[in-house]
Amino acid sequence: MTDRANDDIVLEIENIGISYFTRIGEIPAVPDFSLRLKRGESYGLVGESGCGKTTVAMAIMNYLGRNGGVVKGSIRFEGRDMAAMSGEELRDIRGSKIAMVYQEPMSALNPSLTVGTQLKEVLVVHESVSDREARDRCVRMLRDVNMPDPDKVMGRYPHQISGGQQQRVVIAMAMLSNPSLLLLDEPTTALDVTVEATVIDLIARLREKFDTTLLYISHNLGLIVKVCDRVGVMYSGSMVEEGTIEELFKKTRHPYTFGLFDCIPTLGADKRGRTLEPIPGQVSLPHERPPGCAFGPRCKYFKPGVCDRGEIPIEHLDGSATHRARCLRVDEIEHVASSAGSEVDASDGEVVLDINRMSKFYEVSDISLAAILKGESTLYVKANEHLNFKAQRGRTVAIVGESGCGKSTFAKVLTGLETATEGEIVFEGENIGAISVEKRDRKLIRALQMVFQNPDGTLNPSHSVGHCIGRVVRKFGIESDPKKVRERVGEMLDIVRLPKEFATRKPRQLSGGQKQRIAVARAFAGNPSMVIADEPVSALDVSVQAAVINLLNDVQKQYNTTLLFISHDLSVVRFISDEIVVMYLGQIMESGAADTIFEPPYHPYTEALLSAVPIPDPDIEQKRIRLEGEMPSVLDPPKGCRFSTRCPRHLGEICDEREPPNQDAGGGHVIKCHIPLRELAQVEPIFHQKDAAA
Amino acid sequence: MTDEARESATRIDADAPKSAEQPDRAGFAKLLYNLGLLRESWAALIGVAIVGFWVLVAIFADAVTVFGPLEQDQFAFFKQPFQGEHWLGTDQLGRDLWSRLAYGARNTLIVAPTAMVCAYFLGISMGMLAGYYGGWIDQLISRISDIILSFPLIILFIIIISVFGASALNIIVAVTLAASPGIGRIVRGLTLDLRNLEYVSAAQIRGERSLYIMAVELLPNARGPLIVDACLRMGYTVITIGILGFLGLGLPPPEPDWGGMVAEARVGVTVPNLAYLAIVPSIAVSSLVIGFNLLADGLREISTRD
Repeated sequence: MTDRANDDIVLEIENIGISYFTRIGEIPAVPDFSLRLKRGESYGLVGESGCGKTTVAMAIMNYLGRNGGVVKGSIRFEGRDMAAMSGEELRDIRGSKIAMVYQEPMSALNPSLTVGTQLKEVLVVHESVSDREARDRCVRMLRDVNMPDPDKVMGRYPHQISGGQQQRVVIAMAMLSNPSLLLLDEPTTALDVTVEATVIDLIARLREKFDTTLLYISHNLGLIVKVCDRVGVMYSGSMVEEGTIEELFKKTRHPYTFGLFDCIPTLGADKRGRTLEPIPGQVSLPHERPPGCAFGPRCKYFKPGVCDRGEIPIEHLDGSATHRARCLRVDEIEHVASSAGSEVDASDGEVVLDINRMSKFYEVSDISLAAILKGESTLYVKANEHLNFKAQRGRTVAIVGESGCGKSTFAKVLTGLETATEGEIVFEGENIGAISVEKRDRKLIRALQMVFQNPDGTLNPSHSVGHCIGRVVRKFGIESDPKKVRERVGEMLDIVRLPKEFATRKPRQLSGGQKQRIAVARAFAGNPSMVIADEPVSALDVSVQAAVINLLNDVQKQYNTTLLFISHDLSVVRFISDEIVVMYLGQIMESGAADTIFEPPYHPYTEALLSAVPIPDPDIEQKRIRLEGEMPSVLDPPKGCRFSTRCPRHLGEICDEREPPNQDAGGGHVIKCHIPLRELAQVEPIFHQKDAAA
Repeated sequence: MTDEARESATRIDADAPKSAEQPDRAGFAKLLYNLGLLRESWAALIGVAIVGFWVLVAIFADAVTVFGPLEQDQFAFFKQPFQGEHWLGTDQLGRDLWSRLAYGARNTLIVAPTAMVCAYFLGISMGMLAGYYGGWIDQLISRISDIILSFPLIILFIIIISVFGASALNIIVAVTLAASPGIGRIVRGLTLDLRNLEYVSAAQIRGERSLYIMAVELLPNARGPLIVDACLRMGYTVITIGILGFLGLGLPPPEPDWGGMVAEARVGVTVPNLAYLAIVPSIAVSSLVIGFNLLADGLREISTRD
């Protein structure tokens, strides 16, 4: 895939400018962009949201909508100028020669047609083959994307298959007509980590098999490492740095690329080892782009009079043919990676929260005739079963698991939106498991607050920021005098590092990261002793994510609050938490201090999770463990070990029949598994540094 | 697939103007700004003009008329419009039609909005309770609504008015009863949508009472669709009041009432040169209804554009 003739270029984008035309005039979304893709090459495009990645992909598909258009430059596909093609020719190319995979598989598939009908349509339309032949080829392609039981899947509707399978169908659909260019726009963002890992493997394998050129758009540098040969970093509509994986990850030159690396938590370090350095500010809007370097206002190496004068060209570095950067001061910059982390927080060891065999079951009535005849018309969804763990004051405990593992249910029980079915939740000496929020007294309510996942849903769009924080202050009787309430609101805004003037703003005037900061301010406004954060950063861009994580960390330390951090992202969890609880299908599989979780002995599920985490470092190799099959239904969980149906280290009957014991590996590290600890401890670590020789 | 693609492609364009403008406004300035938005829709402008015209006529009925609404001119029965001092003519009793229209407008524009406010109060309460609590409360409220909605409206009105007698108050009661189930359904739907949002959970977790959550967290976010609906419904209510008047269930004579005026003119409709007696009040009713409908259309247009 290396040395190819020049005429083997599949896609050549030359200095295109893409604009949208709106009420406020022309908005240059992408001012100047060039890209050249050879046959069989895999190219990754990274950047934060709003940097124009998707716009470029849409321009290649010639699908910019009614108010958008390419205003200059050219896009040549296999040597032909796409602008000169007729609508008929374009339609012919789309879906056959150029195919695209979107972020949300569910909305990319038509819910009212079977998978088979939708797949066959591609072939029938583009190649006018017979229905029979189309069917055969579709089944073969489904087999190629590792779809279990492809014949049956052909007759199913999209909602009858899982998210991972849906994305496989979408990829199969894209690959059916053997396209020469495949565009992937964040194809795994909506999927769980273990599913993501299998889809990424699949993409890498398909690419080798079919020799397809890939343009992979993602915000996740860890994924790019796994699938791509070359990477381009986009910022505010322009390419700022481009190079091979090696060059970009090891000889990073552009300040923005540095910035991206500095703000991602990696599995190797936690909050004691390093700090995350968020990139200050936000991506400037296309019509408010500053003169000169677009990254200037956020760059710590910005030099007035140099960086803000005129266009900055993208130039080759150190005589490399592939490595280019758009920065004037590239040779003067000496980047120092982020400094040492914060000191270890002193916990007095007081146990604030003690969960003791807590379970939460939901009743579901099964109205099928068979169930009624058998007398089993009530089913139980065991959302949480026998949870056991403790949290100490001032510590951060993370609950990790994939969707459907019951982590959000646990948050609901803890906050009193639901009540526990059995077991105890002892919070500051009081058993609160059975007390719903309406029956809790003000002191208890005030002590337990929450930060939510979705920045757009967390604030009431009708009320100002000041009202929102002020209500908490008044409600919990911190202050009642309007003037003092206002002062307190200002103080809280100060703590989350937002200007006091934000108090009068409405949520729609804030960015996602700002909204999340307000949510943090609101949660801490009543001096809670414990804050539950349910995926607080997963909807945010990496640079903003870093800022919110740092903020949570700082505010927690300031108030000596216990933080319960619910997440699916192991790198974030590794960074922020002191203790980790790994959940699968309503049960705790493994729990213990953060660093013990990341080293053997592992629970087999934790091992699989760790193996699936994308790591933005080409030098680290991960042991490859992929989970087969789907997570079983919570209505009908496996009888023995919950994980037994997918466990790669499955022992035999004992796993299927008997619930595994909680084995104590010392120091509070508990693994729920039948495999003896001795054996688990001998498992080789998931991560190891690649040999220098290799 | 196509819509999704287009949406993500135009996201930049959708985001850009929003954060660029819309600075903070408060009180009167905000009102002016919102009224200014009406400029963006022709329908809304025309609607405002028509409705505004009738509101002004109703308020200043004393000033814009020469004769009283009940005053009989013994020298002018059946005067044709646009002739002499009675510029819309006179009726069979020699009463000035313009005066009766103007004072009729006053009646209509008092009864209709009052009925609307009552209907919305009842409808919002029903819908909020049903949507927020669900379960048997929802079942109870929804079934009662179904029963009311399954009655043919006119029959419902005839029953209510003939039992309680014709008066402004009873018209209001009848309209409230008839309109609130419909409003309740809309509110219930909006509530079901909103109550799963995280800010509602946040309020519950901080121990807010249900009434506070419904009134402060949910209701303000349902106001957009409700305002549009209120304008449309106001138009229908004007028609309803007209129909009631026409059926003799409206304001008791000799009160000037648009529907009643048409009813009284029934005898003359077949006589070619007396048709104006029915046409003039009919035009008044239609114009006000059209005015409200255009206003509703315009508001919808403006609110969905951003």
